[in-house]
Amino acid sequence: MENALLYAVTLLTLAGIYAALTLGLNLQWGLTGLMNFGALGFVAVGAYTSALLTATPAPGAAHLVGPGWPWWAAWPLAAVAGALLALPIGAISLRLRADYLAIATIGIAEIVRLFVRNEDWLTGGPLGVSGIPRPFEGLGQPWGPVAYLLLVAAVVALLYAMAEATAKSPFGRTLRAIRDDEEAAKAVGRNPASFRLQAFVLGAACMGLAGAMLAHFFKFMGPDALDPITATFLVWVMLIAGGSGNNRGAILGAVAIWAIWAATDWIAGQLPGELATRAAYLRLFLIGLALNLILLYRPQGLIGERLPGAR
Amino acid sequence: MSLLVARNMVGGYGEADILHGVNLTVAPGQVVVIIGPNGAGKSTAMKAVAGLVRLKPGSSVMFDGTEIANAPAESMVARGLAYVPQERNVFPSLSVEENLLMGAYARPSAAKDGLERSYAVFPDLAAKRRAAAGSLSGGQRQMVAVARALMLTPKLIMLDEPTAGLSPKFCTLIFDKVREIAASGIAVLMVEQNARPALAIADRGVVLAMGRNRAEDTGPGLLANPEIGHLFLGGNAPEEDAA
Amino acid sequence: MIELVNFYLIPGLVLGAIYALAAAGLSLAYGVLRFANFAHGELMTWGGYAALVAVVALGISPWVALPIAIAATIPVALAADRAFYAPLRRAQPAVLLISSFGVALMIRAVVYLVWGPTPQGYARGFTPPLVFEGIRIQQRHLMILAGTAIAALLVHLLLSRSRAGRAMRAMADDPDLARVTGVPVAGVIRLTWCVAAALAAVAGVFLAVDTELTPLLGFNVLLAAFAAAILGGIGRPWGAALGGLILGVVEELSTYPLIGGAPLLEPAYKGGVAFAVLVLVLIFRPQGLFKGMG
Repeated sequence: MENALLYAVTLLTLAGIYAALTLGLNLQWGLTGLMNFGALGFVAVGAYTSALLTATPAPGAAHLVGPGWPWWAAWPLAAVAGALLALPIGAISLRLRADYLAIATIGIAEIVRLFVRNEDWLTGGPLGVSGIPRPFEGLGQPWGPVAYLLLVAAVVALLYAMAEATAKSPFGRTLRAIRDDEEAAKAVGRNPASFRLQAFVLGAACMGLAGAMLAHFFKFMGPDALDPITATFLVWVMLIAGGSGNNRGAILGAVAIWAIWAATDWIAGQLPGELATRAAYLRLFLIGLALNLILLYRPQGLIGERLPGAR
Repeated sequence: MSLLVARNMVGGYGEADILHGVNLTVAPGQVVVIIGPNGAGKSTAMKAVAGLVRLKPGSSVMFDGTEIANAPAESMVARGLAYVPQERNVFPSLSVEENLLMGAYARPSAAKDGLERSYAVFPDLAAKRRAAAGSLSGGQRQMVAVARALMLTPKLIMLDEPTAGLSPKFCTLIFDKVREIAASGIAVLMVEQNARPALAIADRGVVLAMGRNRAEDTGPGLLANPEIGHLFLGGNAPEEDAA
Repeated sequence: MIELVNFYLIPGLVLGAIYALAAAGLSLAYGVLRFANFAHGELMTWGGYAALVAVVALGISPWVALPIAIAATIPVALAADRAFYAPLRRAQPAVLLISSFGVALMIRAVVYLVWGPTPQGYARGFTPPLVFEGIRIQQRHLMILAGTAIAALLVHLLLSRSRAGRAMRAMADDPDLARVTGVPVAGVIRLTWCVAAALAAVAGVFLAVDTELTPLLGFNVLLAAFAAAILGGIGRPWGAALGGLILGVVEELSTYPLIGGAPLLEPAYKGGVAFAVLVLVLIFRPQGLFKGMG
C-alpha cells in the first residue's frame, strides 16, 4: 500500500516538474511563437546551480564545494541562471528569422552538455554532484515525499498564476500580437525583438527552476542524469498535446503525457531484457508519431488557446 | 464569341468576401482595362480568374470555351492564360533569360521561338540576358515579367497594375507595348490606377466598386462619362492623373 | 608544417566535405520548402545504415553501395513529406519544423530498433595511406573528397543547366510566382526531396566511412550542417557547401597547437566550434557570407 502511494507521489512530483517546464515552453512557443529545442540546456544550468549551492560534498567529490545554502535560497538563483543563459543567445538570434533561434537553442544544449562534462573543477565532470538535499526529507517516509510533492505543486501553482497574469496583461497581449502579425505590431510602435527576448528569458527562468526541482528530487545531478528525449522532446509533446497558448493546457498536457510515459515505462519494465530495450525505442517512435498526429488532427491540443475577447 | 466570360464571381481570402458578383468579358485581341477605387476588388477579380483566389459556388469563369473557376493556378499557362502579378513578378536570383525560360516551362519545345520573339519585342532585355533579374530597375523588371508571360503566346495576358511606380517614360512604353501585344492577336486584361492613359488605349473599360460592377463602356466612352470622370478619374483633370 | 597539413588540414577538408554535402541538402530543402528540416540528420543516418545492409549482404564496398543508400533514403523523405509535411504546407514554417522534429525521432527509433545502439563499421581491410612529398592522405579521405566534388558538380549542373533545377530555384525565389508561371509545384517539391535525401545519404555514408555508424550519426552533425548552411546564406546550396568546407577546416584547426604546444581549444570542446561559428555568423552576417543561389 505504502509502495503504491510512494509510486503515485513520485509520478505526480515528476509530472509537476514537467508542468513547470511546459509552462516555460508555453511562454516561449505558445504565447510568443519562439521555438526552443534546447530546454535541456536551461534545465541543466538551473539544476547545477541549485545543486552546487546546496550540496553537502561527499568525500572525494571533484566538484566545486558550494556554500551549502538551503533550497529556498538556491531555487530563485537557479531561475536566474536559466534566464542568464537565455539572455545573450536570445539577444543575438531573436532579431533574426524564427528558425535561427530553434537552431541556436540546439547549440546551447550542446554547449552546456560539453561544459558540464568537461569542467570537472566546477561540475564534477562525469561523476556529477551528489549530496543534494531533498527538502522535507527529515519527515521520513511517506510524509517527506508527500511534502516535497506539495512544494512542487505550490511552485507550479505560483508559476501558473504568474503565467496567467502575464498572458492577460498588456504585455501578454502584445506578445500574442507579435506572434500573430509582426508587421501590425510594429506598426503600433512595439519593438518585437525586445518583447520576444523578455518572453524567452522568462520561459528559460521557469526551465531553470524546473531543473532545480529535478536535481533536489533526484538528490544527484550529473551529465547523464538528463536526457534530451525526456528533457526537451517530451516537453514539446506535452505542450502541443495539451494545447499551446493555454497555460491550463500546458499543465494538463504535462500530467497526461507523463502518466502515459510512466505507464509505458512500467509496461516496458515488465518485459524480459532485450524486449525492454526495444520497447524504449518503440516509445521514441511513438513520441514522434504522436507529435505529428496531434499537429495533423488536433493542432489546438486537448484544450485550445482561449483568447480573451472575440476574434 | 468571347475569349473570357467571368460571371457572378463571388469570393475572397479566408472568411470575408471581397468580390460580390463581378462580371468580366474579354474578346480575342481586345484590350480591357479594369479601374476603380482602392479596395474595389480589381486585383482580386484578376487573381480569381488566375486561380489564386477561391471562388464560391455559383461563380463561373469560362475561358476559351472551358469552365476554369477554381482550376489550379499552375494549370492556367498551359490553357493560354498568362498572369503578371503587380509586385514580385520576377524571380530575382534567376537571370533575365532564365526568367523568360520559366515562362515556357509548360512547353519547353517553344522556348527558343519564345526567346527570339521576346527579345524582338523588348530589345533592351537581350542586352541584359545574363543579368540577375533582381538587379534590374522597376521598369526593366516589368518588361521581364510581361515578356515571360508572352513566352508561350497566350490567348489572354492579365497585367496587374503594370505601370505602378514607373516613371512616365516607362508608362508610355508599357502602354505602347500593350497595344502592340493586342495588335498581334493576344487579348489583354489590365488593372490600372493610371486610369486615363489606360482607358485611352482600351477597347473596353470596366469600373468596379465595392466588389461589384459599377459601369462598363468603351474606353473613350468611360473617359467622356462625366459621372465616372468625377468619381473615379479624379474630377475632370485632363490627363496624367493617378486616380 | 607538414604536420599541420597531414593532421589538421586534410582531416578538416574531409570533415568539411561531409558538412558541405549535409548542409547543401539542408539548404536546398529550406530554399524550396521554407522550413528547417530537423530530420535531415536522421536521413543521413538512414543512408549510412542502408549502405551497411548492402555492404554486409552483397560484400561490396561502401562506395559501390552509395546508389543503394540513395535509393533507400529517397523513399523515406518522400513518405515523410506525403504523410506529414504536405498536409501542413499552408501552416507556419514553425509547425513544419516541429513536424520534422517528430519525423526525426521516428526515423531514429526505427534505426535503433533495426540495428541497435552499438556502433558499427563497414569492415574494411587496412589500406596504406598515399604519400606525396610528405603529404599523407588516407585513400578513403581521397575518395570522400572526390565523391564530394562529383556530387557538388552534379548538383551545380542540375540547378544551373536543367529545366527542373531552374524550377527549383524559381520556387526558392517565389513559390506563388512559380505557380502562376505554370510550374507543377508538387513535382518540384518531390524532386527537391529526392536531391536533398540523396545528398543526405551520401553525406551519411561518407561520415560513417570516416568515423563509425551510430544511430546518432547524422543528428550529431545537424548543428554543424545548420551552421554551415547559415554561414553560406540559407537556401543557397552552393554557399552552404562552401560554409561546410570552412567549418570543417576551422573545427580541425581549432585544436592545432599554434602557441607553445597547447591546443588553441581543448579537443573536448571541438563540438562547440560549430556553435561558436553559428553565433558569430548570426551576430555579424546573418544573411550569410555569399550571395546568389547556384
